[in-house]
Amino acid sequence: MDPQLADQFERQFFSYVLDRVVPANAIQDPNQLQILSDADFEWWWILASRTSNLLKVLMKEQATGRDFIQTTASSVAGVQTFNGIQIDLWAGTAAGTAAFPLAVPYIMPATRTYSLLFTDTSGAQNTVELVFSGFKLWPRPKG
Amino acid sequence: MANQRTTGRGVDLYSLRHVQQNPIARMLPLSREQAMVYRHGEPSPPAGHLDGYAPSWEVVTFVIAPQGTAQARVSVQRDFTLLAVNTASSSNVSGGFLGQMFDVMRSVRLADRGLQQALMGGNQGPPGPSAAFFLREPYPFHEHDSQILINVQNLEAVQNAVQIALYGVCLPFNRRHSPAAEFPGGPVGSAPEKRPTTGNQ
Repeated sequence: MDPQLADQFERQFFSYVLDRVVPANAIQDPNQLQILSDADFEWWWILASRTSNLLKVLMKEQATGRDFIQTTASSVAGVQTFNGIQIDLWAGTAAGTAAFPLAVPYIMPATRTYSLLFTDTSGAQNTVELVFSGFKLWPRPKG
Repeated sequence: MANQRTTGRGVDLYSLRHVQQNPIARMLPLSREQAMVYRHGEPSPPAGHLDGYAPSWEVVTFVIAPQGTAQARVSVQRDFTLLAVNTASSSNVSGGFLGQMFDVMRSVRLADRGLQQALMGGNQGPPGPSAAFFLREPYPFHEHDSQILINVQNLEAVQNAVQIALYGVCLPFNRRHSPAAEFPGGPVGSAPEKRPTTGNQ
């Protein structure tokens, strides 16, 4: 967006949170996150807390079928199924790093649902908290 | 004043209007740039040319034999623009692995030789995860059918599970972007509605 142009929205800082206890050795354990109906959400940062980093994540947008995390690499010896990105490569963690900045914000429309699929390889229950941090977009009153 | 960027009356050294920039770069003062991550006080998202693009993680996973090598070819999505690199490996006693990337369509290598894992991107540790490596300027893969070729060499004496995550943005399927190059096979969803014609047709 050209910063010279007037923006049409008031931004309210907001975080969507997904909590899940992923069963041991779960494969693509499905979870859903729905954006509230009151406002679109401008997604800026990702944060995560987890018991073990032996956890992979896939993220899909249901209305469009978009895969945010994918592989198009030709088959590599020894790799069977693509179960996603390792969680510490995807999100900043409470223990180690700052929030991962998307750099280019992504608008999550109100009421849209996102699927998050967890794959655990730690062999134990993995308590996960994902935080999608950003801004609710409130249309600025015309005056 | 018509142009606020000038350093003197009538002087316009150059314009950044059509230059693609990493938005994060604008957040960073030149001093302590690694510590200064977030921007403050700007009224609009500083996404510039990439406004409206969608986040995308291209993830390449290898399982490499001890001291072995592997190669993967990634067909990136349309208008993929690389912003950051992250890496992981199951073993990192002798440095993990060496990785090198090539832009296939432009025949450009993105590193002189293979980089050690810790120097190629942020990683998940141990001892603790480090922040992603963000490019100071985005690297666009805007030729049609762009591909990234990745060569990896395992430095460990044991089998190594390696993951390289390329974070970037790409053009959403449901958006039109008129400067986008046309695929040779015919129009696609985000192609311009009218194709240019030449006079001898």
